[in-house]
Amino acid sequence: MTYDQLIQAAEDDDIEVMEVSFKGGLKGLYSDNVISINSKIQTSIEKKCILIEELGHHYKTAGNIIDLKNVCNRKQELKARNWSYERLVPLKSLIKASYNGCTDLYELAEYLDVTEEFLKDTLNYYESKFGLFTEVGDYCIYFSPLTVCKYNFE
Amino acid sequence: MGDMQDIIDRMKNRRLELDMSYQDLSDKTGISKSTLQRYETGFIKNLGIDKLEILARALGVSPGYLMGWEEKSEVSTIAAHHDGEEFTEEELEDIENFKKYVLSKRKNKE
Repeated sequence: MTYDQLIQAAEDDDIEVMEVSFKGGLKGLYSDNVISINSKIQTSIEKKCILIEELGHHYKTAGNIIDLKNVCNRKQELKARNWSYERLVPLKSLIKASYNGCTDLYELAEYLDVTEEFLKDTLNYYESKFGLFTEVGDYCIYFSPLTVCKYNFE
Repeated sequence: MGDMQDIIDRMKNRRLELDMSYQDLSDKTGISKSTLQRYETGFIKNLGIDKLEILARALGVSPGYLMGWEEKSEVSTIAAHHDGEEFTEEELEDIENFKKYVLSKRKNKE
């Protein structure tokens, strides 16, 4: 899914997405069906990673969670992030990427069309959720380093 | 005056919206868990004015909102994406501007 497609999907759900030139270093903001993304972000891939996270806030969180020193707010932030990881990099896409010859993080990020940082966070999240590995259908995915193997039941 | 059941519903919805347990709300208000539960299930029919205010504050809304006299005056959900814990002056300004925009947009709709 590209950045433009994601914007379209958001607008279909009645969410306004706009780009604003922020004075400070914020990357994105979400509030009541409006998302604003910092227009100074250089690549549309990074913008997409920010947008999906703000969408996570739309679907998964409520309340004023600006202050992340509060534990409750942190919990909500995590919920939004985890949702965005599963949405943008589902487990199946990791299998596909691996079978298309992606070997390191850089290639994988390129193939999946996300930033390396986002991918790293995603893998960390999966590892904390599943442990060392998990099984999807006939496949087994190890998370660090990322390795995919196919079971052979013959 | 708003219907008691409506007040209870708004209170409960707001609590769930914030993903708070009875325990969380109890910690914030000093009202015991079981009392909170009895409010929400309608077991206690009369909610004291003093309690209403404490509950509203803990839920981040105005007492008037719980009563059904007014709409929420603040944006209900807001979240920022940034690295690090503290906000700079400029970032806080950006957030304020954004809030103003969202509120003005809502007013135009009404």
